[in-house]
This record gives sequence, C-alpha cells and structure tokens, in this order.
Amino acid sequence: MKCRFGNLFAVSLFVCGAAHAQFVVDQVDAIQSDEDIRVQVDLDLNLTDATERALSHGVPLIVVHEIALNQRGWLWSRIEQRTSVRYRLRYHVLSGRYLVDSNEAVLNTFRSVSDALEFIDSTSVTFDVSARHADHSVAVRSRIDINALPAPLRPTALFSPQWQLSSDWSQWPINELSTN
Amino acid sequence: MANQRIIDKLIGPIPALILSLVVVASLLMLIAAAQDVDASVESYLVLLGLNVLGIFVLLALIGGNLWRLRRQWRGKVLGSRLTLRMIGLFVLLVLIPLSVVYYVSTQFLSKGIDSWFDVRVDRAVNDALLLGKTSLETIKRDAVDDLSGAASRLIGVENELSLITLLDEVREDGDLAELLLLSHDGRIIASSQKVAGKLIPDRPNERVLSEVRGGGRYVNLEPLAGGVQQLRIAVPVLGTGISRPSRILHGLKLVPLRYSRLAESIENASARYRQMVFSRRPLKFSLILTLTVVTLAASMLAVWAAIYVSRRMLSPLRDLAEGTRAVAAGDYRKKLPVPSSDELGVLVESFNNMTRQIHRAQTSVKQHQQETERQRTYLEAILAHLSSGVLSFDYKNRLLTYNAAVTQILDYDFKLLRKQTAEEISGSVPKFEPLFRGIRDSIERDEAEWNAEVTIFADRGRQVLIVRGTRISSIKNSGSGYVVVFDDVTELIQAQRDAAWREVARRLAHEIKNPLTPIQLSAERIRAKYLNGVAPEDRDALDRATRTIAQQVESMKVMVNAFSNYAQPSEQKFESLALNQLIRDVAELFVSEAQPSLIHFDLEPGLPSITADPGRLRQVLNNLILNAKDATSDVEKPEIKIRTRYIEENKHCYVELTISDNGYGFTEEDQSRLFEPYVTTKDEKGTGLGLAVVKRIVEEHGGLVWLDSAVQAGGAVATITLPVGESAVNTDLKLRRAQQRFLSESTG
Repeated sequence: MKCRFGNLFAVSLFVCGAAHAQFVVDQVDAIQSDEDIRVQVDLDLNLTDATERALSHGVPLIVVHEIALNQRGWLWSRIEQRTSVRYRLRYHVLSGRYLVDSNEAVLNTFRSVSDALEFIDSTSVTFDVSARHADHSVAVRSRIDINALPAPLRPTALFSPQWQLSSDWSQWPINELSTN
Repeated sequence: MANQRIIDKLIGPIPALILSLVVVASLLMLIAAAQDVDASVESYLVLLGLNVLGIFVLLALIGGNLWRLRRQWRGKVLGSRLTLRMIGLFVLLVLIPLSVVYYVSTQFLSKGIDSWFDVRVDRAVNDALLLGKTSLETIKRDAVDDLSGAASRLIGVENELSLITLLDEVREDGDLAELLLLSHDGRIIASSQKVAGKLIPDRPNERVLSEVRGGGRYVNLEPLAGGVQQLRIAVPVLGTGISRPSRILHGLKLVPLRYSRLAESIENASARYRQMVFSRRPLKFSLILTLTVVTLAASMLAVWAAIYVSRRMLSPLRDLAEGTRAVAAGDYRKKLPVPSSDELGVLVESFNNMTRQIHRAQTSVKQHQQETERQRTYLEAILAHLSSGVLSFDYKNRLLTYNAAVTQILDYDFKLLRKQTAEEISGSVPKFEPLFRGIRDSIERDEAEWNAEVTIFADRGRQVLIVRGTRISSIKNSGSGYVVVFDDVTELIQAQRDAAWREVARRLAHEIKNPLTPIQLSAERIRAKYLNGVAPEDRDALDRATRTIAQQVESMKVMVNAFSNYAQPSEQKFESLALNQLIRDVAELFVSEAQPSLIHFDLEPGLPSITADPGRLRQVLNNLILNAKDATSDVEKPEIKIRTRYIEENKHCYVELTISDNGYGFTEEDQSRLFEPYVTTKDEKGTGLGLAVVKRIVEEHGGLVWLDSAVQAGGAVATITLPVGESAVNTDLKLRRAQQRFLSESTG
C-alpha cells in the first residue's frame, strides 16, 4: 500500500489498513491552509459475493466514509471534528445500471458495479480550522451501514463475515511543516 | 456455612424472579427489534446478548439447583428422590409442549415465508419487469430510429448556422432535451439544448463514443433523480469523404413522465420483491433465531420454575419425612414449621400434635421407669444386704434372680443356674436337691404361701434351712411366680442346743451337787455309828453299802463338776502365748515309757504368738489329745500327729492346729453332733462334754474347730484355727455380737 503526501504537506502513515479487508483506506491527501484543511481520501473498495448478490437483488448498500480530524492530546487524541459521507449504491434492474447517490442528492449511473465503486472510492471533505496545528491527524474509516439494510438482513449481516466490510480506522498525522 | 447461605440466596426465588422479568422483558424487546425497521443492529445485538446471558444465568441457576439435588440424592436426604421425580415430571410436562410449539412454529414460519414467494407472483413480477423493459426498449428503439433519421439529414451539412438550425429542428421534432453533434474524436461541433442557459452540455463518455465510432448505435436508459428517466442516444453521422469524416449525433431524451412513473413503480416493486426473495433465508434465520432464543429462555424459566415449585411443594413433605425419622430415632421434641393453612399445613400441625403427645407419654413412661428402677434398685440393695437367701422363680418354675446371701449361705455360684428350673437345678447340683425339690413341689402344688425346714449336706456340712415361699402374680407380665426366702438356722439351732445343754448342766450341777454332800456325810455317819453295832453277819453288808454310797457320790461330784465347768462362764485371762511351746508342754504329759513315740510333732518354726488364755487352751489341748489317745487305745501302733501352720488368707492371719490320729474315728452321722454335750463315741468312758468344752473355748478365742475323718489313716482329724495378735479378742467379741444379732434376727 502506498502512502502519498501532498506536495505541500507531509502526511505520515501509521496504519494503512488490514491487507485482507474488503474496504481499505488507500491514501489520504491533506491540504492545510489557515482556515481549513481539505482532505482527499482514496479507498480501495471491493464487495464480497454476498454483498454483490444482495445488490443485484435490489438491496441498496449504504457505504459510509467516516473522516475525523483529531488533535493529539497529552495522553490520547481528541476528536476535534467529524464528518461522514454516505453513498447509496443500488442496482436499477430496468436499465441494468448501478446508481449512486450521495449527500449531494446527485444521481450517478454506472454500467458496472466496479465503475460505481470507483466513483465512490474517492471523496474529499473540508474541515474548518482556526489556525494551523502541527498535532492534527486525520482518521478515516469506511464501512457498510448494516443498520440501513432491510430488517430481516440485519441479523445475518451481523453474524456473517461476508458482511464485515468495515475498514479499520486509519490515522494520518499531518506534519506541521507543511505550508500552503 | 456462610458461603452456602449466600449461594442459597443467590439461587433463591427473588433473584430468579428478577432475572425472569429481565429475560422476559428483553425477549419482548428482542421480538420487537427483530421486526422493527428502525431498530439499530446494535440494540438487536445487545438484546440478543442480554437474552443469551439470561439463558446462561438461568442455566447456571438450574445447574446449581440440580447439583444441590444430586448431592442431596447421593446423601440420601429425605425427599430428594421425590423432588427429582417431580422435577422430571414437571420438566417433561413443560418441555414436551414447548418442543412441539417450537417445532410447529419453525415449520409455520418456514412454510409461511415460503408461501410469500408463490411462483405466480414471481412470474407476474418478472412479467411486469419484462413488460416494462419491452416498453422501454420500444421507446429506445423509436428514439434511436428517430435520431438515426435526423443523422441522415445532417450528412453533408457543414455550415455551422445550418447545423444549429437543423439541430434545433431535430431536437424539437424529437422532443429531445439536448442534442450534440460531435466530431469523430468527440469534440463538440454543435449543440442544441431545450433548457436555455445550460453552459456545459452533457457530453457522452468515451465508452459511448467508441461504440458509435465502430458504426454502432448507442441507446440507454439513465435514471435521474426524482424518478425521472432519460434516454442517452448516440448514432453515427456518416461522412461524405476523407476530408469530411463521420461524426456523432448524441441526444438526451426524457422518457415521458407517464412511462417514467410506471417504470419506477415496476422498478420499485421488482426491487422490493427481489429483496424479499433474497431476504428469505436471512428472514427465516432471523425469526427462527429469535424464536429459538425465546423458546430456550422460556424453557429455562419453566425448568427453573419446575425446580422451584417442586422444592417448595415438597418442602413440607420433606420436613415431615425428617420429622418421622427423628421420631423413629426417639426424638419426640421435633417441631415442624407449618407451611400454610392448606391440607399440608393441617397435616404438619397434626404431626406436631402427635409428637407433642408422644413426647408427653414418653416423658411419663420415663418417669415411671425411673421410679420403678429406683424401687428396683432399692429392693436389690435390700436383698443384697439381706442375710436371708432370696430366690425368685418365674411361672415356668425357672430361677430368675437370687441375692448375695444365697451364694453366701449355700457357698455356690448360682450364676450358671439361672434360667434353670428347680428340677434342673436339683439334677445339676445334687447336694441342693432337698431344697429345690421342696421348692418345686410347693410351686407345682401352687401354694400361695408355704414353710418348710430343709436339711442339706453341702460343703460346709449339715445345714438346716428354714424355707418360706410366696406366690406372687405378674412377674414380667407372664403369669405367677414365686419368691423363696430361706435362712441358714444351723448355727441358731446349735446355739439353742448349746444353751439348752448349758441350762441342763447348770441345773444338774445345782440340783444334784447340793444333796450329794449330805448323802455322803449321812452314809459316813451310818457307817461310823452302826458298823460296830450290827451283827457280824450284817457288818460286811453295811460296810459295802456305805462305801458304795460314798464312792458313787464322789463319782457324781466329779460328773457334776464337769457339768458345772461346761455350764458356767469362766474368767479368762488373755495373754500372748507361744502355741508350739504350750503344745509340747501338754503333750509331754501323755508320753509314757510304754509309748514313747505316740505323739509326732510337725510344728512350724517361728509361729507367731497368739493372744489366748493359757489355762483354757491347755484344757482344749488336753481334751483333744486325750480323745485321740482313747481313740487309739485299741490300735496296734497308735499314732497322734500334732501340726501347726501359720496362714494368711484375705488379709486375715491365723494359726491352724491339727491333731490327727489313726483311731476308730467317727461316722458321718456323728460328725455334725460331736460337739454337742453327751455325744461321745467312747461308750461308758466319757462324759460327752470334752468336745463341747473344746468348741466353747475355741469360740471364746475367736477361733473355729471342726472334725474330719482322716482319709488315709482312718482316724479323726481335729482342726482348730486361732487368730493371731490382738485381733483375737476383738474377733471374739465381734463373733459374739454377730451371733447375738443372728439369733435376734432369726427369732424375730
């Protein structure tokens, strides 16, 4: 796994996700200015057979990217800001296309699920900050929201490893030397 | 003990009840969560975990209860078997219906869910979908045909204004939302848009373009937000030469709203149905999991309730069983707690009343027993210290009890004769045959009271017993029995006889001795006065008569003096005496030249001195040696042996003197009467008072004297025992007092 830094910021990789996970945080870029921090997240998303089968059977999947801006404290980090981006991926049987809508309520259509996932696997968020801080870090996690599944599916999803698509939390510290 | 109490509280009813309520509540919530669309999976997980935990806790409770029951069953605690049996019954009664319900429910669920997916419904949905697709395909085909027609109109048109005008015309004719003419490499040549002001046209992606470049036609339905659907169409516009290559006409056409809504409806219904089909197994799994957890929790609750109810129900019975066992073991003070006012409570109360009454009765019986025992002990103490022998016989004529005096009087251990009949005792011990024959005869005659005098010849010689028998009723509740009391009156009779003889002797001495002197004096006066005056022929007769009178009177005086000595108590002067020396002094008088070896001495050297009256003891020795000498007068080799021994027996010290001879001895019949006055074996020679005087003197010295036949020599053996030291006088006094007490008891 490659951990790349922006040309102005240096981001150190601590945890780049588990190798066997279906959802993996691939890379995080951060651009820090005096007012905000813009975070670009790239993930590697792959569905399991069960989830793909569910998708083809009309079960919409909610993919949630959780991104948190943490500030390192004396003993442990404190979550300063937190946001999430939700993508709703479903299959349109009449058109045979995969549809993705997100928080922005824009519907995107794709011929294949891989195209749809390729659309989902990168996102960017902006955190408003009052000043530059050297002790900031970005934590990223991506998962399928099991609570959004139809009720009968939830117990199965709860106990089945095929549905355990959540990535681990990845910490990406931001080097203070970075300047805009 | 404290730990056990804590465990009992933990597995008691209140924690279990609280747990049951929690489990039931969580079960209800779990069922609700399984059906609630909005319920989060975390809450479902928590509820599921809570229920599983509750089941495990219930299992632990049940296990604890069963373990305790198993321990009680192994320890054979009363009621444990019944409790186990009842629990088993309850568990069966609960589990069998629950299992049936569970099986039926799972089948019902499975079949019910399966029934949702009827083949006809499935086909209808697919048909609707197919219909929708077909309709859309028609729309798509029409749209692509229309656009292909428009593309043919654009062939050769190069002028930009003409192109725009034509594109607008085509867009309006085809009711397109947007129309683009793209170069072969995808560059926009001209565009026409329905919505004015849209700055960036919706350019097709490279995949669309490459498909069209290959000569194909592209059309696809693209859902938009808000249920609106649009068709993306791309067709080639053929070029007219190398300098005018082919171009691409790309259009976007909104599906008519009516079709869009219908298609959306079909899409939604189809999606929902496919979701249901896909969720069939998970739904079954979810519902059966919930049902299983509910059934398990209900089963555990029911089993625990069965255990609790069984224990609770059987608790009074267990208490009753323990109480019964305690009563059987003799504990009548056991009180059982009354559990309730129902039938069991009445039963326990009755049990308590019963034990209370038994306890009272037992206490009363014990008091009576103690009283009886006290009286028996008192009676035994009296009997033990009674000088009379007491025998008791049961109704079968068997010897039941005897007191110490029996053993003492008869000198026989009656322990071996217990439970034997009087007849059997007669056969076992022939010397007591006269006594027990009399007893047997009296018992057989069933006399209420009877008296008899029985003479037996036992080890002590002739014994005269006065026997009294009394019939008593209810000895050990087994009919009549007999109590026989007897006294040994041998010595009493002897003492009475001695006393009588002494009285006779005293009277004889007194009545006869007084006239003897006047008779003698009168005879001498007659002789002196008339001997010379009578005729010579009568003188000789007178002389013989008066001489005879004088001689007989003298002889009578000697006899009367002997009586007097026997009858009158003499003054005794006790002093320390060397018996061996006294024996030698007395025996010396009987040794003569004619018989130098008549007497043989076997005197123990160093014999301790005794306290005795030398004069009286000399008379004893004199009488005995004289008797022996007289008894051996006709023997060819007369022999008298005198022997002394010092003996210690039972802390008593005494000397034993034995004088034996080889004379004519005495018969067995004479043996018991030889010490009586006027009993003699010497024909006319003796007065018959010698041995009587010997016996009296020896008894005055606290000693004993008896005669035996010499087994080997064939003569008689006289044996005297005399106490050693100062105790002799005291012993004599004690003996006298004992004799007096005995006489008074016997006569009283």
